[in-house]
Amino acid sequence: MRHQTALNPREGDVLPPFEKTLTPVDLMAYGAATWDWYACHYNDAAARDLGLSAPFVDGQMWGAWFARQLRAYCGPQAFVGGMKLRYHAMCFAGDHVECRAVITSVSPLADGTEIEVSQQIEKAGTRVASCISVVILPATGVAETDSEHSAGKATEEGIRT
Amino acid sequence: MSDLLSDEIRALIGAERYYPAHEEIGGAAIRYFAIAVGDTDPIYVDDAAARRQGYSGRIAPPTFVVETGQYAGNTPSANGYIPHEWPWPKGFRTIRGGQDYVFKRPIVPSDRISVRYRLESVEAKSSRDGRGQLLAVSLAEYLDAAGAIVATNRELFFLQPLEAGQ
Repeated sequence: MRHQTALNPREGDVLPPFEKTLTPVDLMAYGAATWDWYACHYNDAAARDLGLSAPFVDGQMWGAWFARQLRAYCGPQAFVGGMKLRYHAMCFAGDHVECRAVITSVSPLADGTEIEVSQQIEKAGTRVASCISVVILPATGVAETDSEHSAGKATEEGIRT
Repeated sequence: MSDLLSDEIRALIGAERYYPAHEEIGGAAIRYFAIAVGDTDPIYVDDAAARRQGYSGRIAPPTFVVETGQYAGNTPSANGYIPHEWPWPKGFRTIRGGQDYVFKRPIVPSDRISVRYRLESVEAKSSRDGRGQLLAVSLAEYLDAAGAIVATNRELFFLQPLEAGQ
């Protein structure tokens, strides 16, 4: 399939959300892929030694999730220029989380458009992480892709994993 | 509360560490990361797909450069930790508060990334349990083989005193 990647973003536009129930494998895979073998991300006893109930998610993983949501919506040519992440609550394997986002500003540039996006991850109504992201959308470019990674693939159901 | 900010910790403020690149980032590391975070965009794994989007070849997901700890060159600590960490005195647990990322350009497999860390500040903060905590701010600058900064990561983290026995 081919989709136009050029967006006409407006303030208030909502990006497709996605949701996932975290598994121990998710925590382990992220730790391994980032060279972080910290036992508290996969070992019950290590987490208890820190006074925590169970192995917990590395907060930086939310940055990757936010970036993934941005690129899935904005298209593969979009450039994520900055992210301001804040962590509000811990997450553990078994938690079900939802990632939501809304465009908060749109600014024309000489060679494209800059959008600011407010993103949030929640579990059971509790805010886990938030992010203010800045994305540069090219003015023109290759307006096709051979995957679901384009704005045109956004569905009402959002992206589920 | 200010007792937490000991002379030992104050002495760390302004400390710097530099980790030179060991090797190229590599396509496998990028592919591994994309799989781990569930990002199936082909531009991270397929040179032809990336070229169709105007890139010279595959690129890394945006936050890969600031999330991987492959630069540090450390051996694992007793609890398995490899990435950079400051030598905090015992008796604290470290909780991340946030990160401010700035990205200058996409990262490609052939990039050789070195990292420069600086502990910018540590200050006492209140905490919900009344025991107090410390807020530390550390800046990481990621440099390519030419010495150009390709990304920065200003990390905020809390040092919380452990209970006796923890």
